[in-house]
Amino acid sequence: MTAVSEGPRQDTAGTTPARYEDAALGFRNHWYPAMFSSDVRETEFKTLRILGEDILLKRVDGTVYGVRDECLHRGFQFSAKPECFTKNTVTCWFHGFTYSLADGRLVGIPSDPDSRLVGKLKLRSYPIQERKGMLFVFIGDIEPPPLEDDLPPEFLADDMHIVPFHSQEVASNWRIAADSASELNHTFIHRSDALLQYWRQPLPFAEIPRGNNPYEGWILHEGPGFKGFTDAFGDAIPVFEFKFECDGEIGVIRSAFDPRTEGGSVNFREMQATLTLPCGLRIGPWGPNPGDPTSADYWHYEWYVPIDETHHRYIIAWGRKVADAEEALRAEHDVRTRWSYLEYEGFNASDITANEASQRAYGEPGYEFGEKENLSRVDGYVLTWRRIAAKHNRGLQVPYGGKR
Amino acid sequence: MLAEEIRECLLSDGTKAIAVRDSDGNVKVFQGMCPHQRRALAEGDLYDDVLTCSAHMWSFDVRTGEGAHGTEAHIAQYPTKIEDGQVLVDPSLVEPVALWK
Repeated sequence: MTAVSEGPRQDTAGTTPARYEDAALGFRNHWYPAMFSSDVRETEFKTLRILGEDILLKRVDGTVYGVRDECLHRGFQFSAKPECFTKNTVTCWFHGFTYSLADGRLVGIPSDPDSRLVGKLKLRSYPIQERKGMLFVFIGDIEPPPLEDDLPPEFLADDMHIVPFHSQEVASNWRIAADSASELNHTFIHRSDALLQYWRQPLPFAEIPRGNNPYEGWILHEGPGFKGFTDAFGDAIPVFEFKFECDGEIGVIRSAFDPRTEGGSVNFREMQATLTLPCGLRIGPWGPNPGDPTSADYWHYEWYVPIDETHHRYIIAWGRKVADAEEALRAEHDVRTRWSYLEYEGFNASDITANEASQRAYGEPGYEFGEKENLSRVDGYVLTWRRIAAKHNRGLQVPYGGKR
Repeated sequence: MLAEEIRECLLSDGTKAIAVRDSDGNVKVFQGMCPHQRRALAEGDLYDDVLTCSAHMWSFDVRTGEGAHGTEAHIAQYPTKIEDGQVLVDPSLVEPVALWK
């Protein structure tokens, strides 16, 4: 059979979007959150594996630089034994090739000081931006677009105080996580989570869509700026109890708290979730005090950053609009002493279990990503996300752009 | 063939096809695999002239083979003729659409 191509679309940056099925290592030419600012201190080297690329990071006089973690001479991995004779260079432990950290250029070879390679050879150097206590790295070959084009809404807003509090390697492909980021029916896994106990929250564990077209009912963000889509909760029919029968036996699944007797703490009808390219989510308002839905004024941000084909980095940061430094400090304290535990251990850890236990099926050799799925009209979330992602991404990730 | 029935058949050249009856009563024969990821379209669902694949809800109008509900691909249709109540299919000039790799 002959493959028939749909014909590549081109966006203004001149890149060709990749198929979602092919994007095992993510999408190239995007900004990705890499680490927290506090992870990279002055004088120490850090390594980062991201989208199949290995990066060496160092903070020099306040600015974090990143270069490829591999010597151009004979491929030694700098981070295995980093050597540093000035604060702004890295020297290869193997033969002493020395590079500038700021732009990656080769500045000296001890055995061949007059080599014409000096000043000419260059390590791949990564654009890095440090914002809101997080480090963002651009993986790509084009002139980097503005950072906010690759972030969920309002993350960079001046009055948004961000508290990044969780970063963890998860043993699943990044798409498994993105596909169920805030997908309505995955609340089944959160049925008995500790956060619900804290809130005495009757959480629907399923949502029956009202319409038949899976692509309808979403707000698409396809204009200038970030690309993605938003789902407003409260459109679907919530399910708090489900009965089934098999061979004469009746099974009953119930929400941990009964909505008829428990007021709960979250007003789901006020909530919105926005999933954006390349791999970020904002959901909220969230984080109410128990019994007081009006007190929810946090925004939950999270990312599923590809590490390699079978791992991604799950990063969580909470944001809150604040008027002054005092309010910012209070939010910081509140998140670090309460929500970081309740939210991660009491809620998001379930997502990790779900994602890791799905990896085997999605990564099965001989199958394309998603080939084993059987989706239905309730899976509009994942279908819509994949369609938007496939349409607006800036290209397929190939490590180092396919160059040496 | 009944309405909403999807029948899988093997063509003389060894490829799989599906036969369906559209709302005008015409029997149409299309490629048997979804262009997306080679799922058998016979496992799909046919309603109101829209054939929906069981894997990812790619949808096709069985009057024309064109994508429906925003599906941006089509399925190849085979020329047919009816002789003595038998549907005859000519596969020689038709190449199934396949977007998978």
